[in-house]
Amino acid sequence: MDYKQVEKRMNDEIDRLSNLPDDLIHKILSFVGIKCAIETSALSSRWRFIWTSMPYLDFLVEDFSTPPKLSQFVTQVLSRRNNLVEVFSIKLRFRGYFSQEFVKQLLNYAFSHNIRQLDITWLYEKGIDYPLSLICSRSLTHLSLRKKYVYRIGKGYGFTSTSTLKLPLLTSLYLEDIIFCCDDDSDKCVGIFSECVNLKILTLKGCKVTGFSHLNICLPLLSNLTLADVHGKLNSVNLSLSFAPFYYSLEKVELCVTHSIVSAHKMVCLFQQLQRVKYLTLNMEILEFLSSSVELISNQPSPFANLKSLHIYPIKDLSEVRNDVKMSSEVKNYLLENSPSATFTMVSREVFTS
Amino acid sequence: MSSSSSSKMIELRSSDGETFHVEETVVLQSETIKQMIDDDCANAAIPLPNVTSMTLAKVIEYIKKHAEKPKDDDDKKVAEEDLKKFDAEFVKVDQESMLFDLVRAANYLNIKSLLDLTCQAVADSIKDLSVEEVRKKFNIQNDFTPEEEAKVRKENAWAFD
Repeated sequence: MDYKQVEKRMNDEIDRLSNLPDDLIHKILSFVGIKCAIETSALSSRWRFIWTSMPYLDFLVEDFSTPPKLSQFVTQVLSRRNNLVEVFSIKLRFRGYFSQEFVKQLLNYAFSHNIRQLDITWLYEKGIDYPLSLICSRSLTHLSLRKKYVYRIGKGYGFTSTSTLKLPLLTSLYLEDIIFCCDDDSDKCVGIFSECVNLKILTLKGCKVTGFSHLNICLPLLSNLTLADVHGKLNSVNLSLSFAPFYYSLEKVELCVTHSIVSAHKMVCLFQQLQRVKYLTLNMEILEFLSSSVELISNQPSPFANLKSLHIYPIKDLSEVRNDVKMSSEVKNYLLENSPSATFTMVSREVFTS
Repeated sequence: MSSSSSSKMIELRSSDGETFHVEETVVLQSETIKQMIDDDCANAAIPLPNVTSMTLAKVIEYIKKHAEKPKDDDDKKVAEEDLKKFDAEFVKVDQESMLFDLVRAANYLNIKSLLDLTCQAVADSIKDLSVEEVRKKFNIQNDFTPEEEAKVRKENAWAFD
Protein backbone atom coordinates (compact mmCIF):
# COMPACT_ATOMS: atom_id res chain seq x y z
CA MET A 1 0.00 0.00 0.00
CA ASP A 2 1.42 3.39 -0.89
CA TYR A 3 1.39 6.39 1.40
CA LYS A 4 -1.72 7.97 -0.08
CA GLN A 5 -3.76 4.85 0.38
CA VAL A 6 -2.63 4.52 3.97
CA GLU A 7 -3.57 8.11 4.61
CA LYS A 8 -6.94 7.57 3.03
CA ARG A 9 -7.54 4.46 5.10
CA MET A 10 -6.59 6.26 8.27
CA ASN A 11 -8.84 9.11 7.29
CA ASP A 12 -11.70 6.70 6.81
CA GLU A 13 -11.17 5.19 10.20
CA ILE A 14 -11.41 8.35 12.26
CA ASP A 15 -14.45 8.34 14.50
CA ARG A 16 -15.53 11.90 13.76
CA LEU A 17 -18.87 11.56 15.48
CA SER A 18 -17.51 10.55 18.91
CA ASN A 19 -14.77 13.17 18.58
CA LEU A 20 -17.26 16.00 18.55
CA PRO A 21 -17.60 17.94 21.80
CA ASP A 22 -20.59 17.02 23.97
CA ASP A 23 -22.59 20.13 23.13
CA LEU A 24 -22.50 19.29 19.41
CA ILE A 25 -23.43 15.67 20.06
CA HIS A 26 -26.36 16.94 22.14
CA LYS A 27 -27.40 19.15 19.26
CA ILE A 28 -27.34 16.18 16.87
CA LEU A 29 -29.18 13.97 19.35
CA SER A 30 -31.88 16.63 19.67
CA PHE A 31 -32.82 15.81 16.06
CA VAL A 32 -32.99 12.01 16.45
CA GLY A 33 -35.66 11.86 19.16
CA ILE A 34 -35.12 11.12 22.81
CA LYS A 35 -35.61 7.34 22.59
CA CYS A 36 -32.93 7.02 19.94
CA ALA A 37 -30.70 9.34 22.01
CA ILE A 38 -30.99 6.97 24.97
CA GLU A 39 -30.26 4.03 22.69
CA THR A 40 -26.87 5.56 21.76
CA SER A 41 -25.64 4.84 25.29
CA ALA A 42 -24.83 1.29 24.10
CA LEU A 43 -22.43 2.52 21.37
CA SER A 44 -19.31 2.83 23.52
CA SER A 45 -18.17 4.13 26.89
CA ARG A 46 -17.90 7.63 25.37
CA TRP A 47 -21.64 7.51 24.71
CA ARG A 48 -22.83 5.79 27.85
CA PHE A 49 -23.97 8.90 29.76
CA ILE A 50 -24.10 11.55 27.03
CA TRP A 51 -27.89 11.55 26.84
CA THR A 52 -28.19 12.22 30.58
CA SER A 53 -26.86 15.73 30.10
CA MET A 54 -28.99 16.61 27.05
CA PRO A 55 -30.33 20.15 27.46
CA TYR A 56 -33.06 19.61 24.85
CA LEU A 57 -35.96 17.35 25.82
CA ASP A 58 -38.78 16.54 23.41
CA PHE A 59 -41.61 14.34 24.63
CA LEU A 60 -44.10 13.65 21.86
CA VAL A 61 -47.15 11.46 22.39
CA GLU A 62 -46.78 10.02 18.86
CA ASP A 63 -43.67 8.15 20.02
CA PHE A 64 -45.63 6.16 22.58
CA SER A 65 -48.29 3.49 22.26
CA THR A 66 -50.46 5.01 24.98
CA PRO A 67 -50.49 8.39 26.74
CA PRO A 68 -49.75 6.90 30.21
CA LYS A 69 -46.56 5.41 28.73
CA LEU A 70 -45.47 8.94 27.88
CA SER A 71 -45.91 10.18 31.43
CA GLN A 72 -44.04 7.17 32.85
CA PHE A 73 -41.28 7.82 30.36
CA VAL A 74 -41.01 11.50 31.30
CA THR A 75 -40.79 10.59 34.98
CA GLN A 76 -38.01 8.09 34.25
CA VAL A 77 -36.04 10.54 32.11
CA LEU A 78 -36.19 13.24 34.77
CA SER A 79 -35.07 10.86 37.52
CA ARG A 80 -32.18 9.44 35.47
CA ARG A 81 -31.06 12.72 33.97
CA ASN A 82 -27.95 14.44 35.32
CA ASN A 83 -29.51 16.74 37.86
CA LEU A 84 -26.68 19.27 37.69
CA VAL A 85 -27.18 20.10 34.01
CA GLU A 86 -29.53 22.91 33.06
CA VAL A 87 -32.42 22.37 30.67
CA PHE A 88 -32.50 24.59 27.61
CA SER A 89 -35.76 23.54 26.04
CA ILE A 90 -38.68 21.19 26.59
CA LYS A 91 -41.29 20.27 24.02
CA LEU A 92 -44.24 18.32 25.32
CA ARG A 93 -47.11 17.15 23.17
CA PHE A 94 -49.69 15.11 24.97
CA ARG A 95 -53.13 13.74 24.58
CA GLY A 96 -55.87 12.64 26.91
CA TYR A 97 -55.89 12.89 30.64
CA PHE A 98 -52.83 13.67 32.67
CA SER A 99 -52.77 14.26 36.35
CA GLN A 100 -52.01 17.75 37.52
CA GLU A 101 -49.28 16.13 39.58
CA PHE A 102 -47.50 15.08 36.38
CA VAL A 103 -47.66 18.53 34.82
CA LYS A 104 -46.54 20.05 38.08
CA GLN A 105 -43.57 17.71 38.35
CA LEU A 106 -42.41 18.50 34.83
CA LEU A 107 -42.81 22.26 35.20
CA ASN A 108 -41.05 22.27 38.56
CA TYR A 109 -38.15 20.36 37.08
CA ALA A 110 -37.98 22.69 34.08
CA PHE A 111 -38.07 25.90 36.10
CA SER A 112 -35.61 24.69 38.72
CA HIS A 113 -33.19 23.84 35.88
CA ASN A 114 -33.35 27.33 34.35
CA ILE A 115 -35.30 26.40 31.24
CA ARG A 116 -35.31 28.97 28.39
CA GLN A 117 -37.84 27.58 25.93
CA LEU A 118 -41.03 25.74 26.76
CA ASP A 119 -43.45 24.45 24.18
CA ILE A 120 -46.58 22.57 25.26
CA THR A 121 -49.33 21.23 23.02
CA TRP A 122 -52.40 19.57 24.44
CA LEU A 123 -54.27 17.35 22.04
CA TYR A 124 -57.52 18.07 23.66
CA GLU A 125 -60.22 15.54 24.33
CA LYS A 126 -62.26 16.78 27.21
CA GLY A 127 -62.28 19.60 29.66
CA ILE A 128 -59.30 19.65 31.93
CA ASP A 129 -57.96 22.55 33.88
CA TYR A 130 -54.22 22.70 34.04
CA PRO A 131 -52.46 24.71 36.68
CA LEU A 132 -51.09 27.42 34.45
CA SER A 133 -50.51 29.58 37.46
CA LEU A 134 -47.53 27.28 37.99
CA ILE A 135 -45.82 28.87 35.01
CA CYS A 136 -43.52 31.18 36.83
CA SER A 137 -39.88 31.39 35.86
CA ARG A 138 -36.96 33.79 36.02
CA SER A 139 -35.19 32.12 33.09
CA LEU A 140 -37.86 31.42 30.45
CA THR A 141 -37.49 33.44 27.23
CA HIS A 142 -39.90 31.59 24.94
CA LEU A 143 -43.28 30.09 25.83
CA SER A 144 -45.76 28.43 23.52
CA LEU A 145 -49.00 26.90 24.74
CA ARG A 146 -51.47 25.44 22.36
CA LYS A 147 -54.48 23.24 22.52
CA LYS A 148 -55.81 21.25 19.58
CA TYR A 149 -59.33 19.96 19.70
CA VAL A 150 -59.45 16.29 18.93
CA TYR A 151 -63.19 15.97 18.90
CA ARG A 152 -65.32 17.27 21.72
CA ILE A 153 -65.21 20.82 22.92
CA GLY A 154 -65.48 20.95 26.64
CA LYS A 155 -64.41 23.23 29.37
CA GLY A 156 -61.12 24.82 28.51
CA TYR A 157 -58.23 25.71 30.67
CA GLY A 158 -57.40 29.26 31.16
CA PHE A 159 -55.89 32.13 32.95
CA THR A 160 -58.06 33.57 35.61
CA SER A 161 -58.11 37.25 36.30
CA THR A 162 -55.98 36.78 39.34
CA SER A 163 -53.21 35.06 37.40
CA THR A 164 -50.46 37.12 35.93
CA LEU A 165 -47.72 35.41 33.97
CA LYS A 166 -44.64 35.97 36.07
CA LEU A 167 -42.01 35.66 33.36
CA PRO A 168 -39.68 38.66 33.52
CA LEU A 169 -37.24 37.45 30.83
CA LEU A 170 -39.83 36.22 28.35
CA THR A 171 -39.32 37.69 24.87
CA SER A 172 -41.65 35.52 22.81
CA LEU A 173 -45.11 34.23 23.73
CA TYR A 174 -47.44 32.14 21.59
CA LEU A 175 -50.88 31.20 22.90
CA GLU A 176 -53.40 29.22 20.89
CA ASP A 177 -56.93 28.33 21.99
CA ILE A 178 -56.39 29.57 25.50
CA ILE A 179 -59.20 31.07 27.53
CA PHE A 180 -58.58 34.19 29.50
CA CYS A 181 -61.27 34.27 32.09
CA CYS A 182 -62.35 36.13 35.12
CA ASP A 183 -63.54 34.30 38.23
CA ASP A 184 -66.24 36.76 39.11
CA ASP A 185 -68.36 38.65 36.64
CA SER A 186 -66.88 42.03 37.33
CA ASP A 187 -66.07 44.11 34.28
CA LYS A 188 -62.36 44.41 34.78
CA CYS A 189 -59.32 45.12 32.73
CA VAL A 190 -56.79 42.45 33.37
CA GLY A 191 -53.02 42.58 33.08
CA ILE A 192 -52.17 38.98 32.33
CA PHE A 193 -48.99 40.10 30.58
CA SER A 194 -48.11 42.95 32.90
CA GLU A 195 -45.13 41.15 34.40
CA CYS A 196 -43.66 40.06 31.08
CA VAL A 197 -41.79 43.32 30.73
CA ASN A 198 -39.33 42.07 28.11
CA LEU A 199 -41.90 40.60 25.73
CA LYS A 200 -41.16 41.46 22.09
CA ILE A 201 -43.23 38.96 20.13
CA LEU A 202 -46.79 38.16 21.10
CA THR A 203 -49.15 35.86 19.20
CA LEU A 204 -52.69 35.16 20.33
CA LYS A 205 -54.54 32.73 18.12
CA GLY A 206 -58.10 31.54 18.61
CA CYS A 207 -58.05 32.70 22.19
CA LYS A 208 -61.20 33.52 24.07
CA VAL A 209 -61.67 36.34 26.50
CA THR A 210 -64.49 35.93 28.97
CA GLY A 211 -65.66 37.71 32.05
CA PHE A 212 -63.90 40.97 31.37
CA SER A 213 -64.07 43.48 28.61
CA HIS A 214 -60.48 44.46 28.01
CA LEU A 215 -57.39 42.45 27.43
CA ASN A 216 -54.62 44.69 28.56
CA ILE A 217 -51.52 44.53 26.41
CA CYS A 218 -49.25 47.06 27.96
CA LEU A 219 -45.78 46.01 26.93
CA PRO A 220 -43.13 48.67 26.38
CA LEU A 221 -40.82 46.53 24.21
CA LEU A 222 -43.41 44.76 22.08
CA SER A 223 -42.39 44.88 18.42
CA ASN A 224 -44.37 42.09 16.85
CA LEU A 225 -48.05 41.43 17.52
CA THR A 226 -50.32 38.85 15.92
CA LEU A 227 -53.97 38.63 16.86
CA ALA A 228 -55.77 35.95 14.93
CA ASP A 229 -59.36 35.14 15.68
CA VAL A 230 -59.00 36.31 19.22
CA HIS A 231 -62.59 35.43 19.87
CA GLY A 232 -62.66 32.87 17.08
CA LYS A 233 -65.60 30.58 16.74
CA LEU A 234 -66.34 31.29 20.34
CA ASN A 235 -68.75 34.09 19.79
CA SER A 236 -69.41 35.72 23.10
CA VAL A 237 -66.67 38.29 23.14
CA ASN A 238 -65.92 41.63 21.63
CA LEU A 239 -62.46 42.39 20.53
CA SER A 240 -61.20 45.07 22.74
CA LEU A 241 -57.66 45.69 23.69
CA SER A 242 -56.03 48.41 25.61
CA PHE A 243 -52.50 49.30 24.69
CA ALA A 244 -50.07 51.62 26.27
CA PRO A 245 -50.73 55.09 24.84
CA PHE A 246 -47.58 55.39 22.76
CA TYR A 247 -46.22 52.38 21.03
CA TYR A 248 -42.78 53.34 19.88
CA SER A 249 -41.55 49.80 19.60
CA LEU A 250 -44.48 48.10 17.89
CA GLU A 251 -43.40 47.56 14.28
CA LYS A 252 -45.19 44.57 12.93
CA VAL A 253 -48.86 43.76 13.41
CA GLU A 254 -50.95 41.00 11.95
CA LEU A 255 -54.69 40.99 12.52
CA CYS A 256 -57.20 38.38 11.55
CA VAL A 257 -60.75 39.22 12.48
CA THR A 258 -64.03 37.80 11.28
CA HIS A 259 -66.24 40.79 10.81
CA SER A 260 -69.57 39.53 12.01
CA ILE A 261 -68.38 39.72 15.57
CA VAL A 262 -66.64 43.04 15.86
CA SER A 263 -68.09 46.49 15.49
CA ALA A 264 -66.52 48.88 12.96
CA HIS A 265 -66.14 51.40 15.71
CA LYS A 266 -63.97 49.06 17.76
CA MET A 267 -61.85 48.23 14.75
CA VAL A 268 -61.19 51.91 14.13
CA CYS A 269 -60.30 52.39 17.79
CA LEU A 270 -57.87 49.51 17.56
CA PHE A 271 -56.23 51.00 14.43
CA GLN A 272 -55.79 54.29 16.22
CA GLN A 273 -53.72 52.54 18.83
CA LEU A 274 -51.43 51.12 16.19
CA GLN A 275 -50.33 54.43 14.70
CA ARG A 276 -46.62 53.71 14.54
CA VAL A 277 -46.81 50.32 12.93
CA LYS A 278 -44.55 49.76 9.92
CA TYR A 279 -45.66 46.37 8.66
CA LEU A 280 -49.37 45.62 8.76
CA THR A 281 -51.17 42.47 7.65
CA LEU A 282 -54.96 42.26 7.62
CA ASN A 283 -57.41 39.64 6.48
CA MET A 284 -59.65 40.54 3.56
CA GLU A 285 -62.75 40.34 5.71
CA ILE A 286 -61.59 43.43 7.59
CA LEU A 287 -61.68 45.28 4.26
CA GLU A 288 -65.22 44.11 3.58
CA PHE A 289 -66.12 45.24 6.92
CA LEU A 290 -64.55 48.69 6.59
CA SER A 291 -66.19 49.05 3.17
CA SER A 292 -69.58 48.62 4.78
CA SER A 293 -68.87 51.43 7.22
CA VAL A 294 -67.70 54.12 4.80
CA GLU A 295 -69.46 56.91 6.74
CA LEU A 296 -67.47 56.04 9.83
CA ILE A 297 -64.03 55.92 8.23
CA SER A 298 -64.48 58.89 5.92
CA ASN A 299 -64.77 61.05 9.03
CA GLN A 300 -61.56 59.62 10.46
CA PRO A 301 -58.00 60.62 9.70
CA SER A 302 -55.84 57.84 8.34
CA PRO A 303 -54.36 56.21 11.44
CA PHE A 304 -51.04 55.01 10.06
CA ALA A 305 -48.20 57.44 9.45
CA ASN A 306 -45.24 55.07 9.26
CA LEU A 307 -46.43 52.16 7.16
CA LYS A 308 -43.84 50.50 4.97
CA SER A 309 -46.06 47.69 3.85
CA LEU A 310 -49.70 46.68 3.95
CA HIS A 311 -50.57 43.11 3.11
CA ILE A 312 -54.11 41.80 2.66
CA TYR A 313 -55.00 38.13 2.42
CA PRO A 314 -58.26 36.15 2.54
CA ILE A 315 -59.26 33.55 5.14
CA LYS A 316 -59.30 30.16 3.49
CA ASP A 317 -62.65 28.98 4.86
CA LEU A 318 -64.43 32.03 3.53
CA SER A 319 -62.72 32.03 0.14
CA GLU A 320 -64.91 29.23 -1.14
CA VAL A 321 -68.17 30.99 -0.38
CA ARG A 322 -67.39 34.61 -1.16
CA ASN A 323 -66.22 36.61 -4.11
CA ASP A 324 -63.20 38.79 -4.23
CA VAL A 325 -63.30 42.18 -2.64
CA LYS A 326 -62.26 45.32 -4.42
CA MET A 327 -60.75 47.86 -2.14
CA SER A 328 -62.78 51.05 -2.44
CA SER A 329 -60.92 54.33 -2.70
CA GLU A 330 -62.36 55.41 0.66
CA VAL A 331 -60.89 52.38 2.39
CA LYS A 332 -57.62 52.74 0.57
CA ASN A 333 -57.37 56.39 1.57
CA TYR A 334 -58.22 55.58 5.12
CA LEU A 335 -55.48 52.96 5.40
CA LEU A 336 -52.74 54.45 3.25
CA GLU A 337 -53.23 58.21 2.93
CA ASN A 338 -50.59 59.11 5.50
CA SER A 339 -48.08 56.51 4.31
CA PRO A 340 -47.67 57.25 0.60
CA SER A 341 -44.52 55.19 0.19
CA ALA A 342 -45.95 51.97 1.64
CA THR A 343 -46.02 48.94 -0.60
CA PHE A 344 -49.44 47.39 -0.89
CA THR A 345 -50.09 43.73 -1.73
CA MET A 346 -53.31 41.77 -1.80
CA VAL A 347 -53.84 38.04 -2.29
CA SER A 348 -57.12 37.36 -4.08
CA ARG A 349 -59.55 34.68 -2.97
CA GLU A 350 -59.30 33.06 -6.38
CA VAL A 351 -55.56 32.56 -6.00
CA PHE A 352 -56.11 31.22 -2.56
CA THR A 353 -58.62 28.53 -3.51
CA SER A 354 -56.87 27.39 -6.67
CA MET B 1 -15.09 55.33 0.84
CA SER B 2 -17.93 54.14 -1.27
CA SER B 3 -21.32 55.63 -0.40
CA SER B 4 -23.09 52.29 -0.51
CA SER B 5 -22.72 50.44 2.77
CA SER B 6 -23.87 47.16 1.25
CA SER B 7 -20.74 46.86 -0.83
CA LYS B 8 -18.32 46.93 2.08
CA MET B 9 -16.08 43.87 1.87
CA ILE B 10 -14.73 41.84 4.76
CA GLU B 11 -11.60 39.76 4.45
CA LEU B 12 -11.49 36.32 6.05
CA ARG B 13 -8.39 34.16 6.39
CA SER B 14 -8.66 30.38 6.70
CA SER B 15 -6.42 28.19 8.87
CA ASP B 16 -4.30 27.33 5.82
CA GLY B 17 -3.75 31.00 5.00
CA GLU B 18 -6.13 31.50 2.09
CA THR B 19 -8.05 34.80 2.05
CA PHE B 20 -11.68 35.27 1.05
CA HIS B 21 -13.48 38.54 0.38
CA VAL B 22 -17.12 38.56 1.36
CA GLU B 23 -19.69 41.35 1.53
CA GLU B 24 -20.29 42.53 5.06
CA THR B 25 -24.08 42.05 4.77
CA VAL B 26 -23.49 38.38 3.87
CA VAL B 27 -20.93 37.66 6.53
CA LEU B 28 -23.09 39.14 9.31
CA GLN B 29 -24.97 35.83 9.38
CA SER B 30 -22.07 34.64 11.47
CA GLU B 31 -22.67 35.88 15.00
CA THR B 32 -18.98 35.38 15.77
CA ILE B 33 -17.84 37.64 12.92
CA LYS B 34 -20.65 40.11 13.61
CA GLN B 35 -19.32 40.45 17.14
CA MET B 36 -15.79 41.08 15.81
CA ILE B 37 -17.09 43.75 13.42
CA ASP B 38 -19.12 45.36 16.22
CA ASP B 39 -16.02 45.38 18.40
CA ASP B 40 -14.12 47.04 15.56
CA CYS B 41 -11.74 44.12 15.14
CA ALA B 42 -12.40 43.66 11.44
CA ASN B 43 -10.18 46.30 9.89
CA ALA B 44 -7.59 43.76 8.81
CA ALA B 45 -8.27 40.23 7.58
CA ILE B 46 -10.17 38.19 10.18
CA PRO B 47 -8.20 35.05 11.03
CA LEU B 48 -10.29 31.88 11.37
CA PRO B 49 -7.77 29.40 12.78
CA ASN B 50 -10.40 26.66 13.18
CA VAL B 51 -11.68 26.65 9.60
CA THR B 52 -9.85 25.27 6.55
CA SER B 53 -10.13 26.96 3.17
CA MET B 54 -12.16 24.05 1.80
CA THR B 55 -14.70 24.30 4.60
CA LEU B 56 -14.73 28.11 4.54
CA ALA B 57 -15.49 28.14 0.80
CA LYS B 58 -18.46 25.88 1.47
CA VAL B 59 -19.68 28.06 4.36
CA ILE B 60 -19.42 31.16 2.16
CA GLU B 61 -21.41 29.42 -0.58
CA TYR B 62 -24.12 28.78 2.03
CA ILE B 63 -24.30 32.27 3.54
CA LYS B 64 -24.24 33.90 0.10
CA LYS B 65 -27.23 31.86 -0.98
CA HIS B 66 -29.05 32.62 2.26
CA ALA B 67 -28.40 36.36 1.92
CA GLU B 68 -30.38 36.64 -1.32
CA LYS B 69 -33.50 38.71 -0.78
CA PRO B 70 -36.70 38.11 -2.75
CA LYS B 71 -38.13 41.23 -4.39
CA ASP B 72 -41.82 40.67 -3.71
CA ASP B 73 -44.28 38.18 -2.27
CA ASP B 74 -44.56 36.01 -5.38
CA ASP B 75 -40.82 35.88 -5.49
CA LYS B 76 -40.73 34.96 -1.83
CA LYS B 77 -42.50 31.64 -2.33
CA VAL B 78 -40.28 30.67 -5.23
CA ALA B 79 -37.21 31.72 -3.26
CA GLU B 80 -38.27 29.65 -0.24
CA GLU B 81 -38.68 26.56 -2.38
CA ASP B 82 -35.39 27.25 -4.08
CA LEU B 83 -33.64 27.64 -0.73
CA LYS B 84 -35.06 24.34 0.52
CA LYS B 85 -33.69 22.59 -2.56
CA PHE B 86 -30.34 24.30 -2.10
CA ASP B 87 -30.14 23.20 1.55
CA ALA B 88 -31.00 19.60 0.68
CA GLU B 89 -28.28 19.52 -1.97
CA PHE B 90 -25.81 21.41 0.20
CA VAL B 91 -25.57 18.67 2.85
CA LYS B 92 -25.14 15.91 0.26
CA VAL B 93 -21.36 16.12 0.54
CA ASP B 94 -19.03 13.61 -1.10
CA GLN B 95 -17.05 13.00 2.02
CA GLU B 96 -18.57 12.46 5.41
CA SER B 97 -15.62 14.34 6.93
CA MET B 98 -16.81 17.53 5.20
CA LEU B 99 -20.16 17.30 6.98
CA PHE B 100 -18.43 17.13 10.36
CA ASP B 101 -16.11 20.00 9.38
CA LEU B 102 -19.20 22.03 8.52
CA VAL B 103 -20.83 21.18 11.88
CA ARG B 104 -17.72 22.44 13.69
CA ALA B 105 -17.36 25.53 11.47
CA ALA B 106 -21.05 26.46 11.84
CA ASN B 107 -20.65 26.11 15.59
CA TYR B 108 -17.46 28.15 15.73
CA LEU B 109 -18.79 30.86 13.43
CA ASN B 110 -22.14 30.70 15.23
CA ILE B 111 -24.42 30.45 12.19
CA LYS B 112 -27.53 28.93 13.71
CA SER B 113 -29.36 27.87 10.55
CA LEU B 114 -26.25 26.14 9.16
CA LEU B 115 -25.62 24.38 12.47
CA ASP B 116 -29.21 23.14 12.53
CA LEU B 117 -29.02 22.04 8.90
CA THR B 118 -25.79 20.08 9.29
CA CYS B 119 -26.70 18.53 12.67
CA GLN B 120 -30.04 17.49 11.19
CA ALA B 121 -28.17 15.85 8.31
CA VAL B 122 -25.95 13.87 10.70
CA ALA B 123 -29.03 12.96 12.77
CA ASP B 124 -30.85 11.73 9.66
CA SER B 125 -27.99 9.38 8.90
CA ILE B 126 -28.17 7.90 12.41
CA LYS B 127 -31.90 7.80 13.00
CA ASP B 128 -33.02 4.49 11.63
CA LEU B 129 -29.87 2.50 12.23
CA SER B 130 -29.25 -0.11 14.91
CA VAL B 131 -26.46 0.38 17.45
CA GLU B 132 -24.23 -1.96 15.42
CA GLU B 133 -24.96 -0.13 12.19
CA VAL B 134 -24.13 3.27 13.75
CA ARG B 135 -20.82 1.88 15.04
CA LYS B 136 -19.95 0.57 11.62
CA LYS B 137 -20.98 3.71 9.73
CA PHE B 138 -18.99 6.09 11.95
CA ASN B 139 -16.10 3.79 12.95
CA ILE B 140 -17.09 3.87 16.60
CA GLN B 141 -14.89 1.48 18.61
CA ASN B 142 -17.01 -0.61 20.93
CA ASP B 143 -14.87 -0.60 24.06
CA PHE B 144 -17.45 -2.39 26.21
CA THR B 145 -16.92 -5.99 27.23
CA PRO B 146 -19.92 -8.11 26.22
CA GLU B 147 -20.99 -8.15 29.89
CA GLU B 148 -20.75 -4.37 30.16
CA GLU B 149 -22.71 -3.87 26.96
CA ALA B 150 -25.43 -6.21 28.17
CA LYS B 151 -25.56 -4.26 31.42
CA VAL B 152 -25.94 -0.90 29.64
CA ARG B 153 -28.70 -2.26 27.46
CA LYS B 154 -30.50 -3.67 30.47
CA GLU B 155 -30.09 -0.38 32.33
CA ASN B 156 -31.91 1.47 29.58
CA ALA B 157 -34.51 -1.16 28.75
CA TRP B 158 -37.19 0.98 30.46
CA ALA B 159 -37.05 3.39 27.54
CA PHE B 160 -38.08 0.79 24.98
CA ASP B 161 -41.06 -0.96 26.60
